[in-house]
Amino acid sequence: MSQPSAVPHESEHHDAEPILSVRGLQVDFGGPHQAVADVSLDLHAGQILGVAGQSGSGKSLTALAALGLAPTNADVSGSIRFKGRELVGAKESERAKVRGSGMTMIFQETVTALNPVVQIERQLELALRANVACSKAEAKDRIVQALQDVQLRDVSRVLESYPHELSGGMCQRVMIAMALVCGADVLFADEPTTALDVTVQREVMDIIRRITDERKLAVMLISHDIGVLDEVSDRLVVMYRGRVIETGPSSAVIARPQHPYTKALINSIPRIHGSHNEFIEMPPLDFEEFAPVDHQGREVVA
Amino acid sequence: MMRMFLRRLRVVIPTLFLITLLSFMLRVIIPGGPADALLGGSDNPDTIKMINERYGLDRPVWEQYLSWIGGVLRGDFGISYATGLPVVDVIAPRLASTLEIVGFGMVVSLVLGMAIGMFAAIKRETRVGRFVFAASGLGVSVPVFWISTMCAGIFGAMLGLLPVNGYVPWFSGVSAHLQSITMPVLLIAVPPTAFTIRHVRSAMVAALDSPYVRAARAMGVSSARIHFDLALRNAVGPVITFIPFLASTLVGELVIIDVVFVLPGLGASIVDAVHFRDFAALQAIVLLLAVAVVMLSLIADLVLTAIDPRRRKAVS
Amino acid sequence: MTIAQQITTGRTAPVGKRTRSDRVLTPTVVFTLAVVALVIAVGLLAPLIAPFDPLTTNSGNTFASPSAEHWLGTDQAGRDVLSRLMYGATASFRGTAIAVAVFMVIGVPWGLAAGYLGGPFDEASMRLADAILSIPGLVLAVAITGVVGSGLNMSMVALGFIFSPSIAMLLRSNILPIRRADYLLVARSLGVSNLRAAFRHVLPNAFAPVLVQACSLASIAMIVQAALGFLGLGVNPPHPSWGGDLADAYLFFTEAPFATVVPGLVIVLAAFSISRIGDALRAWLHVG
Repeated sequence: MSQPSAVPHESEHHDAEPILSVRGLQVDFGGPHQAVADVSLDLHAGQILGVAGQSGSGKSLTALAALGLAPTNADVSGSIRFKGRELVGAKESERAKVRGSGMTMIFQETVTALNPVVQIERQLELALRANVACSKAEAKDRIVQALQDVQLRDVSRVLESYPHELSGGMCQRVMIAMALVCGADVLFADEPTTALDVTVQREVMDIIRRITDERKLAVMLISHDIGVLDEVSDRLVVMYRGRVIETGPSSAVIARPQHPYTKALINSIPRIHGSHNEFIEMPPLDFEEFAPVDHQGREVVA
Repeated sequence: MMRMFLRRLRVVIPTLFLITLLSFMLRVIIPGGPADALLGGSDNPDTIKMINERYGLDRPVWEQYLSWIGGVLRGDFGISYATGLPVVDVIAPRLASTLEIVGFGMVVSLVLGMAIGMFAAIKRETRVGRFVFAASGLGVSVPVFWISTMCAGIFGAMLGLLPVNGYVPWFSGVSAHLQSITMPVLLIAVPPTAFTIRHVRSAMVAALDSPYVRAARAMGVSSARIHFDLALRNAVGPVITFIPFLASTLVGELVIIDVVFVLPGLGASIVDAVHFRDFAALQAIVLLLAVAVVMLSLIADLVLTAIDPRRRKAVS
Repeated sequence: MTIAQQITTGRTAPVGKRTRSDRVLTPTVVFTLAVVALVIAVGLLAPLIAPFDPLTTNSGNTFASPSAEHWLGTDQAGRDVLSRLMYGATASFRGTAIAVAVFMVIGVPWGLAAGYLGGPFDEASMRLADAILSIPGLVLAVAITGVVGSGLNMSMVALGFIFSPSIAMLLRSNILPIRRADYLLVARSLGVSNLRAAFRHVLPNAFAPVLVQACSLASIAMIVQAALGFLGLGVNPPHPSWGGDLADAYLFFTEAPFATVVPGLVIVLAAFSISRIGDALRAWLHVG
């Protein structure tokens, strides 16, 4: 497979095959800049890959492109392999089959990510039945089980509720439960805790970590806050203007950031963590001048 | 639900009161007063005095209002100036054709409008979708008197496909009856259908672009399910709030349709009342139509509260 | 809004830029502006440029086909159709202008007062607006015109009155959030009087949507005016008006269908152009 050698990609010398493997992904809207210029990364079972970067860096779009949910006016090229199957260029019907039962995604929106006029039970049932054929009783069992897995108390009340009757944290747990009932192997989590209260953030992150380990999920966790990613992710990818500019094990990237943009991101982590969530003040630098960094041992020279 | 109803009444009752005032004002603002208008400029003081006494026009305005509104509440809209009959007897025979034309017009607008609006929303990025949307823009601004005269002229007068010369009651023949209302119903529904298309489309697009639809897609829910289950459910609310506006539009167009197709409806009554300077009938019709629109919005609100859990919560 | 949301909703193009000018002055907008300008110009200049007197009948030359002399032919009384259309533009333009002037003169102070004063005045005047708007527009227009007497000016004043609540309600709802905005507080703390603060700060912000609304109401006014003319309640015959001429021509539809088509097309084109200008204005002023 040909790919620009100058760009590092998230490919550990891993024992197992990655579940999802992205190579040289490009997403183009026909403008002067590519929204995703060149991204390569791998997702492994039981691991969380943290993706850091500012809004507009292409991290969400990478996930949406993998799911086949990029906007219709977007031109997606490169390679996206799910369990060895190439998805770029595949028929929409085939991609639709992968969504839900193969890969799924949760979003920053919590309450509004659920249909406001439909009860939670019905929504979970809709997601379940879209992917799994089972009896009514079995469906109920699976739904209750999933809600318990995301540590929702008072499950019967939640099932009867409408989204506006639940808190943001509860809604996000419901969304995670929904992803679980779909039986997906890959979970994209796009800023799942950004809209939540700090104490709730922690709980939700813990749940994501736990279900990753228990269910051997391959998770891509997207956040603008590299501090949040540091705590739960196994490996890190830093994106800037549609490119991966630094990658490696989380501890290595955080401890020895090489790229000035990564350094800026790390410096923006609030000193007393979580006390306030200030957005990154961008230094007046064009980071594209700097070479991408791979913590695999070598520094990539452009 | 009861509380919501009571709260709405607090708004509806003052509005109804103001509507009665407005309808009554029609009589007050006649230049020279109703008697003068009735007599067409006759200056015989005795005749004027007689007319004023006969219709109670010599009393103070507020007294006239009270006696008028008192009558209205008992179902007595006064005496028609033109015919000398009770206004109720003048209006009542006009209701059948009007209810039918407006009712069918509403059904056609809602059914066609929702179907086409959904289609335009789902296909919004295709050429067909954009064309439908642009066409609905034209449908909104096309004058009913023009398309109805054109259609009546072409399909009625020239080709003789459908009758254009009046209303055939159903008991005179079902087929003839249906033929006589086909064109009026279809034509009165043109702008309301176009309005509904635009309205449903924007509600559907908002729903289709919403976070919950995107989440549902990510969870593997099929497009058909999303369109007909998730999004449509959320587009129904806006349509219900839209119904009073549709009714008002349909009634406004009824004036034209009644005239063009020679229908014996309320629209024709208004024009007749104006031509015969029958202000008592005019007041009564304006009042009835406005009250009908207000009542429709009240019902729409109640229905919406019944089906939307967010509203239910907000009022309970 | 996350970028994912922006992208999936297509609300913001992530790359590439559209500038103000090339988004607003599309060929359609230029065309519609030209149509409106033409209607106004013809309306103003009709006495100078119309080839014939619109009232001169010629019983020997009825329903004449278009010719070098009569470009659009003649009507049932042998009058020149083009000349009548030109004079009809005068009536249409004047009528629309009257309606717009009236609904702005009533609606703007009304909405401003309701939004800015709040309280019982707001409550009462909004109920009045509800009441007026709950009467179907054309019905009320016919009723008022019938009562005060037909004729272009009075019917258009009535129409302006009927449309004024739309302007008032829109302006009021735009003022409500601005009323609490900081800059108004600052203005007040600097000792600027309430009224001056209203004019200086509130109005410009609340006015953009009102202009857009005024355009679409103007377009409706033009159609309703033609409808009133059609019902014989607008311009008094035999004076030319688009709606009245259409009604006259309709009586002779089988003999000369073209005579019904032309005034209708002119009305549709003019009214549609005005409403398109409203759409362009909406884009230009960034009104949601």
